[in-house]
Amino acid sequence: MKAILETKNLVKYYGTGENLVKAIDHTDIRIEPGEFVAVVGRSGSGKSTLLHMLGGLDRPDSGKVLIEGRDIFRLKDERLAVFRRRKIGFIFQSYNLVPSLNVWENIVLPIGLDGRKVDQEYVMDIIRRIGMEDRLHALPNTLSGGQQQRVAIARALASRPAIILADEPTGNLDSRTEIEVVNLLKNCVTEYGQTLVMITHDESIAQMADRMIVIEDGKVVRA
Amino acid sequence: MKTVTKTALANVRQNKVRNLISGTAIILTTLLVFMVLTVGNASVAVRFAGVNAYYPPYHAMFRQVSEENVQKLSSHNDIEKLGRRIDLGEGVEDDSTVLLMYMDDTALELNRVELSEGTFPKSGNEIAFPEAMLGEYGLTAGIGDEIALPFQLYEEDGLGYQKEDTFRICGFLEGENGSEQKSYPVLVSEEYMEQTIPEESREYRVMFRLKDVGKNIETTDAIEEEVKGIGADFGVQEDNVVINTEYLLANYIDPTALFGIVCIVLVVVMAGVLTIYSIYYVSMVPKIQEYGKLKAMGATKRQIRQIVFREGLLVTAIALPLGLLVGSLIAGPVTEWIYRLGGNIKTEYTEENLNTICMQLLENGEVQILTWWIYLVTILTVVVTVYLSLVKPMRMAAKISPVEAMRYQGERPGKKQQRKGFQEMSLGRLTRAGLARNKRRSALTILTLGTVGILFMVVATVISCAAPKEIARQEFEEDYKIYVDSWSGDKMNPDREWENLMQNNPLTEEFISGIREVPGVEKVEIKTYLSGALTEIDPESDIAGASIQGLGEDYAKEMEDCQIEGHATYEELKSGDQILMSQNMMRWFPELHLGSRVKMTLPVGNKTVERTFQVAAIGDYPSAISWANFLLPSSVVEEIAAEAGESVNLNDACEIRVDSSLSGSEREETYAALAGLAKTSEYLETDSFEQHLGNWETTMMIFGVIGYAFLIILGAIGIMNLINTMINSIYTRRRELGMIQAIGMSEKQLVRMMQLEGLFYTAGTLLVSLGLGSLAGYGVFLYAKADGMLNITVYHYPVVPAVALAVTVAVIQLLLTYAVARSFRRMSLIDRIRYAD
Repeated sequence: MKAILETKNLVKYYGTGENLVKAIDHTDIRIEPGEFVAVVGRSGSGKSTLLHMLGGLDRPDSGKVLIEGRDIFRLKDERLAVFRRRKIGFIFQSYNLVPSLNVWENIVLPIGLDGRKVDQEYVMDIIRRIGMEDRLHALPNTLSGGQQQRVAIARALASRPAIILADEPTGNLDSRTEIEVVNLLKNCVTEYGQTLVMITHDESIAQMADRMIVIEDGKVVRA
Repeated sequence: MKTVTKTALANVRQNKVRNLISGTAIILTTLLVFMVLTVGNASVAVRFAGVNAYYPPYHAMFRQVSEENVQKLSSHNDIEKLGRRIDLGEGVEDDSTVLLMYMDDTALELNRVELSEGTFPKSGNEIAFPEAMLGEYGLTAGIGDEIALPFQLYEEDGLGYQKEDTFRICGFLEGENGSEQKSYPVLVSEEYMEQTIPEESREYRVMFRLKDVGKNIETTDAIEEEVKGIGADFGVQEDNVVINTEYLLANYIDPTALFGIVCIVLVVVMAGVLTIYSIYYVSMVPKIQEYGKLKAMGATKRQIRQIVFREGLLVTAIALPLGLLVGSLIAGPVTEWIYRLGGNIKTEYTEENLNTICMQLLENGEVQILTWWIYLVTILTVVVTVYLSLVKPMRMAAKISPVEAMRYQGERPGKKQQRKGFQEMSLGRLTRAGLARNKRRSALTILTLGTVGILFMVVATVISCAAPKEIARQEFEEDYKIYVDSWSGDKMNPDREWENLMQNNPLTEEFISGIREVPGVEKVEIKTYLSGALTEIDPESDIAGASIQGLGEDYAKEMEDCQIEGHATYEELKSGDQILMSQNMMRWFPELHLGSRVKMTLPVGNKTVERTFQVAAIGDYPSAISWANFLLPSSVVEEIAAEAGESVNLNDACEIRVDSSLSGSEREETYAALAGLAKTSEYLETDSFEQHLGNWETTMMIFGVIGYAFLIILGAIGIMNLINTMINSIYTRRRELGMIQAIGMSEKQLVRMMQLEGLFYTAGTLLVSLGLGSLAGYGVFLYAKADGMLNITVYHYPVVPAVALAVTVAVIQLLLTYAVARSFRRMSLIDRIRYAD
């Protein structure tokens, strides 16, 4: 089966001399469509940098990131931004909802930025799944952490990206909500046939994934 | 407390951008306050210095004071210094006046008598006089030479017999040569005076300065009262008290000018407070978390307030001296420049010599332009400005609880729970939502910028309405004017009284036909004039007299058009018992109104005519038509003269129109020919439209340049605010923006969003500036028109300044957006997202 997401000899170093940090050190990974992959590792192991590279947010020093076989860093910035918003959905640890927009607006924002029409049925379906159908007009600062993260998940799903990249999406949540949110994410991805790459340092969350990639000092030690 | 200062210092370094911007705003505020005060003060100081150098600086003079009283007066408590002069006699010489007198040193000083050569008479038969007098006597002599002068001594009942004495010349006095009424003072020594006049018959003139003038005694009236009081104590008759009115008037400060300066400073302070406050308020939002942390670590409210305040003070400590330095460097040249331009304005009231003296004083650096108290006032004003700007941010920082601070996102949570929002999102809607969330900040920025804009539009309106050509037209009817120069109340020149001039009027029929014959003259209008007193209301003409301008049939339309109350045609006025009154009269005499019966005593030659007129209409006519208080048809004025039975000529002015097709040089020739005609009589003066136009053009240029320079600096203060808002709105949201980029906003879209925000501020600012500014400008125009300020009569919308303002704001906004976006894009997306995590 053809990989949906692939890195080839990916390298990203920060600093020089004594301060040199090998955030990603000649890493090769391969993710199949529809997979749920958990990336685990200690704090500072290079997980987040890897995720940023996968999503095209940051450029590597060398190596390639292929999405559906296409080298994304050969794209110009402007094209990359467009490619990103169509193919990838991001979920961050600190929710990052736009404070001036209500729940609905936050969810449909990426579609709007892409200049597409909103598929109302589809989005409402997602919102029902995250259980926020009666809070559509609420502003983010009135929501709990769990609710905000659910909105962030809905936002990542709404534009039907092929890949969802989640950077410790449950890091700020209590353990009960944590399981709930990951379950929700997993079910959605399965239902809409998307690929999910999730960073976590929580073993129990990682256990819920199809596969685990362990990173230490920028290198994949177990895939 | 040391920790507080250290923290404040660390904050200064950390908030570099904000402090650079607020520092610039403080520099500009300082500069403006300093310049307004310095230029204002310097112009007063230069004038004082000029006046002191030009007029004799005594406050008053007593005549006929005995030797004994002179002694007593010189030790009088209220007198600062006193000089005495005694006139001995007159020289015998036909066509000039030679006056022998003695003056002591103080009198010489108080009369500004100066030597061009030699010394003042010290003893014996030494004398000093203007060198030009030698020519008058047909003598040639130098210092040290002896000359014989014939003279007559003053005696109790007039001049004594002619006698002659031999004098030794010890010095030549500085003095105007070739003045019209040739009069020469001859100074003699004290010894000679004492020998010539016995002590009991000495009668001095004493000139003196009062001690408390400027402190307890401020107005001319108060000085007069004080002087008369002292005079009465010493038996000086009121006739013998002379107040040096010219000097006192020249020294008098117009309180409205001071009020104006204070108002301008207040405007600057207001703009400064708004701007600096807005800069601190806007950039306080991202700092709130830090203050919260400090609080969590145990800082008290007071300490937090102090940290904020000291940070502001530290910036001020650098910016304030810089502003003062720049101000100190440019104050001198700016003042000189204003005076140089001002020197081009010549009106009939201009004392040309005084202006020259002022200019010289400035050029030689003899007037101190920089004074310590201005530095002090500026420092105080700016510190107060900074303090006022910081009160709110200080309170804001101190009030917030540590927990709240950690969560603080710029807007208090829970204020607004819901947002109706849109079904579909777009860049525009996202931008709008962002601006709506920061309503207060957006409004504050627009308001501060708009305030400067409003001020700009008001000044621009005034300048645009005060069109030099129109103003000059208000003052001047045709192209050229020859008029009889009369004035009253001058005992030295009784020939200038109108009732005397009308018997010896140079504006004869013959003279007027001479004017008509000058090539290029197209039309000549004659105005007649009568002047007298309002018999019942103001018999002494203390407030205003009964000046009447007589106008010919040609003015019938103007006379009717200018009527603002009541109505009277030229024909009706010809009946002779009705009169058209200037509306100014109602200001001076509130009891006068339409229909009032006004009794006048009108001197005609050696007789007087009494007439009572009914006010048929009240008019508001430009000074070009007349500055007289009443208007009548010429025929009525002639009738009054005929009633007196005197043969008089009431012609007052010839308004001359010159062929408009003439070339510049032909016009000059015509003017020169007319001026030549006027020169045939010393009672005639000339004036031209060009002269008035030139004066107003220069005045308006100075006014415009100063006004706009002031506004540009004020505008720069406002722009500091805009820069701060732009930078803050982007940088405090860098994480949010980074995140939006991560979920799909492209760089192009980001820049467009910044542009949209910029556009919002631009549009808002322009809406406030042009909208409210135009309204305020119109209001000021109405006020100026009602008040006769700058002779403004017609409203002109300041199109060019308005367009320039719009373009400037838009361009600055664009450049700013471009710069901010550029610097923002240099930061990698990852850094933006990581920020504050």
